[in-house]
Amino acid sequence: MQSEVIFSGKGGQGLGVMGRILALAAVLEGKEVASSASYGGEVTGGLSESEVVISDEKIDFPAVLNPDVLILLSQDSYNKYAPGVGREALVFCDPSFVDDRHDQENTRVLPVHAAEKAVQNFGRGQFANMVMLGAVVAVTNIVRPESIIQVISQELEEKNPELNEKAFKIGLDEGGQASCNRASDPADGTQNSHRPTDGG
Amino acid sequence: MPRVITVDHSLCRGCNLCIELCPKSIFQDSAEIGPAGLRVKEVISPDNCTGCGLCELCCPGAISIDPLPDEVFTSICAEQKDRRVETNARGGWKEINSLLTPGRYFMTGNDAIVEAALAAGCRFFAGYPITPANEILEEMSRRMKGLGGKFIQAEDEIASVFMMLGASWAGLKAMTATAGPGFALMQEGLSLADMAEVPCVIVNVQRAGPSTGQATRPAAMDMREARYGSHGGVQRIVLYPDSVQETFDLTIESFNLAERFRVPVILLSDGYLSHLSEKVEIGERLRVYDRVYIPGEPAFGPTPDSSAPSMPRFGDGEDLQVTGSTHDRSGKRSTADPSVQENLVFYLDRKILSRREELVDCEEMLLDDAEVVVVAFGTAGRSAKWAVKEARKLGRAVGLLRPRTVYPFPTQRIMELSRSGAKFVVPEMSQGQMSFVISQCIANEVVPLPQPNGQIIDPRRILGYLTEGAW
Repeated sequence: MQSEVIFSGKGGQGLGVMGRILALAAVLEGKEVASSASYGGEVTGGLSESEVVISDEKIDFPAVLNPDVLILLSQDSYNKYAPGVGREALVFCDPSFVDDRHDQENTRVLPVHAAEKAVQNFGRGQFANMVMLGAVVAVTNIVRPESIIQVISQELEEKNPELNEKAFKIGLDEGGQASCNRASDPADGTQNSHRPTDGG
Repeated sequence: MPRVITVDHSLCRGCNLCIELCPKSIFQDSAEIGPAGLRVKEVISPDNCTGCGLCELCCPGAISIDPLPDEVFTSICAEQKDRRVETNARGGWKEINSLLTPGRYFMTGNDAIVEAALAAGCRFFAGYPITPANEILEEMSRRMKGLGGKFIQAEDEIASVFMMLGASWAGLKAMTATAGPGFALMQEGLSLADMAEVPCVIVNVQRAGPSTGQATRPAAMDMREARYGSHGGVQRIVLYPDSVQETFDLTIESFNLAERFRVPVILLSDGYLSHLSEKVEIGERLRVYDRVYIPGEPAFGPTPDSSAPSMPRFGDGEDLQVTGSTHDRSGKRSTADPSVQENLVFYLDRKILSRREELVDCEEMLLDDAEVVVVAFGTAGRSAKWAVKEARKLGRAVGLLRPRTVYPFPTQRIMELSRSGAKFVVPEMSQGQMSFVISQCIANEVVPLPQPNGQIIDPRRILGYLTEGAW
């Protein structure tokens, strides 16, 4: 079993942290993991990406070839990846950043209102990345939620682990609901969020 | 890692700074009242000490932290065994404890270089910042002080390399790290390291060139530069790992080889591998080699058996001269005698070539019945491995040869493989450097698959060539 995950968006959205936490959780579970990050010259606001390959066996080629899960947090990232991935891959995106979710008939898109949830619960969008990660873990089961929580408490020791953990759990609930809705609507995996899309 | 921490009770003023500062709460009040009328401090849990040195730095003089007494040298490299007669000689193989707690780590290629270098005993780093090698310099600046080593950010690469050579003669295991453009500046110093037989490790994290090129993009364009960049053209040892675990292992190997052969060892990495995070298993013990010093023996070659000569450090009391000019065995300049020059240069080559078989190290996969041999190193080797496995699934008789030692080049092994009439395919993140070297040593068909575009090679592209013949 091999999962290939891409996190893509703008610098400053915490993509590197999401990738690292997912990777460390998989390492904790004894899996083979390869992860790399890339960013443009300007760190905040430029294209920022993080890749994680998780496998039960030794990984021959460490970069992503056929992504199974994509977390796309900007319109540019969505335009870059979503049209080409096909229906095997699962695309998570945040409607606050991705207005135009075109080409949904060929792609399984799952909108998660991570930034909105973060603002509702914490007053600011800072923990949106952990909400999103929670939703991804709930839907895909790539790693166990407990592993992520353990990694958060270790890795983000000086960066408010309690709130990050809370955000992650909110994401887990969001993702749980989203995947229930998806299961109840087998005809279409696209318009399957439990809430209406926000005018995109 | 546990250390010997001592608190001199006659000097402790009871100021509590150590208790306040220690991140691991190693100190506490003892029952004893000191000369200042306050409780003197004692150490309760030395095993938790990380060696950060904060207490020693801030204490007004009472605390000292020392590493555990160095393990004794357990054995000595075969070629130098007979010569180790003096009791106050030093050096050879020893087994030591790992610096990090043994276990499984998740780290980047650059971090692995730092951890491995420190574990192997590197205690001097001089460097100048350059992408994509920056993290090595950065992490070294954080770690070196706690281990009692020296870190210097030099004014440029030329200064870095010469500082490293000086530190090596002062007795420290020394290294520097750079990328292609900086490596070009270091060539003069490397040539001196060849001539004066100075053990040191130079990491070259390759990026797309020529010149400034694409600073943040990976490439493997420095194979020829690593071997032939300096004037004089003597043999070099050059290693190139393909994973983070191997980066860790080969960094330790680089130090061992540098110390054993008294040569500069070049460790290649690239812009992708340096930032790739993977699992690294760190064992409990590791084997390291320290340069051999035998009092009274001449400090330079040519030695009768072409092994590395004894290396004193400044202050040992030897009559020592170190020069880049042609010299005799005592180090004295001898620039007019043709036979001294010829013997010296041949000796410098022989030092490495006479042990070539032991040095050459390759990963081999599915080569027994291979009609097509893919030869690739470093990150391109990862692409090739994927492609070869997939091509096998499609029934193609392909195999992989991945040199870990770029130099000495595995010429012998390639000649053996060529006898079956196999075709050689060489994917490279350059315009084709290794393919040229291979075509020089065999008459078989050698197909270069060059990709000098600053990207890692998509393995599907190699597979496309192996199955359909298109590149």
